[in-house]
Amino acid sequence: MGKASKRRAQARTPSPNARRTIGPRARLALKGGALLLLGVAAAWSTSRLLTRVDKTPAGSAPAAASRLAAVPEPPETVDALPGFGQAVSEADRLLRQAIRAEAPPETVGEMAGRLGNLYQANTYGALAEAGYTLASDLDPDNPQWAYLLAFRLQERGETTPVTPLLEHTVALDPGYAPAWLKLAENRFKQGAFEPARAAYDRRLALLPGDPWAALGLARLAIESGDWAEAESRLEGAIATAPEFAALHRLLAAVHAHAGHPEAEAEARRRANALGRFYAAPDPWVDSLIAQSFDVDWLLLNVSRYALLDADLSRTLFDRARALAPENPDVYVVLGEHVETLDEARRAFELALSFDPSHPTALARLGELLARQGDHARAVDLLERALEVGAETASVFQFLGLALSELGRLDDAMRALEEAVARAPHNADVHYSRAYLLQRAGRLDEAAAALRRVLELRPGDELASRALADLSGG
Amino acid sequence: MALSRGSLLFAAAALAIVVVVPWFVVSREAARQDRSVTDLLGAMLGSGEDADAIDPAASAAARTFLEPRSIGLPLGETQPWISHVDVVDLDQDGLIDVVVCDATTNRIGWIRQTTDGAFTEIPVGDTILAPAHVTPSDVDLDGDIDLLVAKMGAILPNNDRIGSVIVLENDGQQQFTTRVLLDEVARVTDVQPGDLDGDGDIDLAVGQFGYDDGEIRWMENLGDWRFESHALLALSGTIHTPVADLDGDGDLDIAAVVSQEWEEVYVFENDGAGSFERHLIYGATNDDFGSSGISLADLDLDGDVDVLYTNGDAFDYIPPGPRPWHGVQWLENVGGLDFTYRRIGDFPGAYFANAVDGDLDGDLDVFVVSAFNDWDAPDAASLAWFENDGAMGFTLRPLAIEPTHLLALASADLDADGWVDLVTGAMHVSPPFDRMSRVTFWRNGWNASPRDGEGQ
Repeated sequence: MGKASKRRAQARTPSPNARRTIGPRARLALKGGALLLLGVAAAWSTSRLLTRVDKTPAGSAPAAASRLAAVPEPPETVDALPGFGQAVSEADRLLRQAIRAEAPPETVGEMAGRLGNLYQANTYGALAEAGYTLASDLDPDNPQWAYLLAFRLQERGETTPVTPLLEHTVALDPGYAPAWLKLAENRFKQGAFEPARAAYDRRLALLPGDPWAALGLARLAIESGDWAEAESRLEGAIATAPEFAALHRLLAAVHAHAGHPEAEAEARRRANALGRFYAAPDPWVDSLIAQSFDVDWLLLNVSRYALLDADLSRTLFDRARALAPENPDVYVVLGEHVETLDEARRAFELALSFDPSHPTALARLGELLARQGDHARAVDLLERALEVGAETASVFQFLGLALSELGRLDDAMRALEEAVARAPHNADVHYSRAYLLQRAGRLDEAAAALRRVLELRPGDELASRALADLSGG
Repeated sequence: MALSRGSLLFAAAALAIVVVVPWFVVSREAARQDRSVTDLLGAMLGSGEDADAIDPAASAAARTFLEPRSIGLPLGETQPWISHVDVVDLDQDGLIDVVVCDATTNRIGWIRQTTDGAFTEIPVGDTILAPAHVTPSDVDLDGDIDLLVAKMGAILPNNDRIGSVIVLENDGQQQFTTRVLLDEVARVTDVQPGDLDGDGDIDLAVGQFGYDDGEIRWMENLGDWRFESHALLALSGTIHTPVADLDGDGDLDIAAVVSQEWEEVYVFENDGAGSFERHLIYGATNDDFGSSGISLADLDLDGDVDVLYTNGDAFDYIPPGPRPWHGVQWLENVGGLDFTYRRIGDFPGAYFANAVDGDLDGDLDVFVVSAFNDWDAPDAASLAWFENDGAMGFTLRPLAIEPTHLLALASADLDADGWVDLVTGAMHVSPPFDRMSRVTFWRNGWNASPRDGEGQ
């Protein structure tokens, strides 16, 4: 150790007589002061820690903190949809304001539910779930919150926690038929057949002849081995709702089980003629789509509801157009849903006025003009569609057909070959190719193409007839 | 050194202050907030955690976990439609090969691995329209591996009876003869082998998606390539029909996922002699759930067989795209053919999942492909894994954003390095077509990629 260090060490070391110079009272005072300082420091440190968790403004009720904590934070992507960020910010601000102002629970719950609606309509399911959870806690007498929470949970496959929510919904609003159907299906899929039957019966009591309830009761009958009851249920339901394909389809299965192949085939034929299964209307859920700011989602649902609920489909379309009046996709969808070819043509032309290179608009308008016989303009549009990337089988197919009408058979054939390469399993494309081959005098190849159509679509009348003509010729 | 009594008293008083004063402050605040003291203490101590901290495991995983490499035929002029991939040592040379269903060329491909780690694809058997599933199995029990093929006849929706059950019979030299075991039925999507009636030969469990008309059947092997069909269920939309002893009674049962408007999972309980009792073990009430596949595995390693289940189908959406509820779940086998639904996590367009211990930490993770993610989004993953924390808690870790449209997934240690690799197949049925692939081998490089702070 150097001299300087020694000096510092000596300076820190009290002299042997130092303690004796401080009396007992002074020592006591010093210790008391130290303890006091320690107490103050402990209280200050604890308070500092508490400020990290206490976000409740001074004067707020204690419960407000937990309610505020339950409000979902807006997502980072909130501004991805124009208008959505502003709507969420406003709904979120009002909800938090109501909580801080200690508004009545049902008022806060209502606002939380509305925020949940906004999230659900814009496909933020987890945030909607948080909003509905808060809403159903604070406003338990409103059946919509429990129902919408149940709906959100079942969307992602949950069943067990859904049951009490649906039971609560129907207890509050026994007249809401979609809730009975959801409850019935939920219980059926959990293997609780008797509660399922009771719920289906309640729906039927509300909506006599309801095909969804009849379908469910028929499935229950099959599960219990009572095929005769299933048949009776289905035939009764078909009498009142003959347009519901699912009834015919399940009846076909019943006939198959009974060993009645002709009746089975007839039921299947009717089902296939009617089309696909569709979900039962659910106004509390369906109407939410109208709060969407996602123009693509709105347009998708315009198509989905076009046949199920024309008014809702129109509402969704109007909202999409209001949100994006210069979005060409809006007018492409319009063109696909109007009733006449002229209206469709005007819609596609409007889409192209906003984006002259819109691939789908070019393709659709080109296909439409090809159908209407304006082959030269059709070729122009379809070739432009291809230039901008709409290289679909359909574009090549209609291009080929239009080119053939202009006498450009070689180009037409090349286009059809492209169509076949892109959709090798599409019978229509093969049929068009057969038509061109026949026009080109390549009859063997035309026959082969027709046979391919029949492979893909056994029994196709046009192809069968054309093949017979070729064979005969 | 002895302490005086006064010093001891002073220390005790200091300790009391350090404990009592904070306790008093916290108690008072807890009463004000109408919370328990322990709750508030928990919030205080937990509030310092940084929720946005970067997870070192995630960064390591994203870095070099799986190295992709195209194998088999190169991309052709049309979009690839690979509907299924599986892994098997088809020629029994000790190297694992890949078999694929190619619905563009309408062929089954054998991607043979050679000793230098190269893969060469050889078409096998005759043309099969829209093959949906290929399962290696020694169907005729002659010692070589045959290929069972589910023929849809058309990949896109179709109600016609254009499906078939086909076996490509191996002559032992990997020359295959096509045998049609069932024809002109609703589109077939799966064929799985197993001795279902306990007579020592291989029977078949067959799933037929159809479109609106579909069914499930088992086909009893009568010998000499003759099979007799037995109907099990007449619902449309069956995708997979894996076979396993699900009730632990020693015989093989059949599981099945039925999509379309039903969205249900069934187990057909075998009495050991080929008599089956149907059990609906799960059903979603979301008729747009989008069931896309099941595989069987003892995911929680408790000795029974669970069901790993994806929902992310969007084949008949226009345009095809994800839905907010798409994801992965497992149905936990709790005995007595009761299964408990457990969500693993959301994953848009989830199409098929495999249970694999990808990081060799002793638990099974879940690897999943997406066929229908939002490909215009820059972070839309086509391959991801849910890392198991060992207590069946799962964390999503994206692995790849390209190639896109991955529909098929298989796993095995293809390069025999002790780490399980993946093979994916892509089906590009819709745009964008700028990140296409056909068959991709994803070499597991976890061992070469030390996780931060762990030094594996």
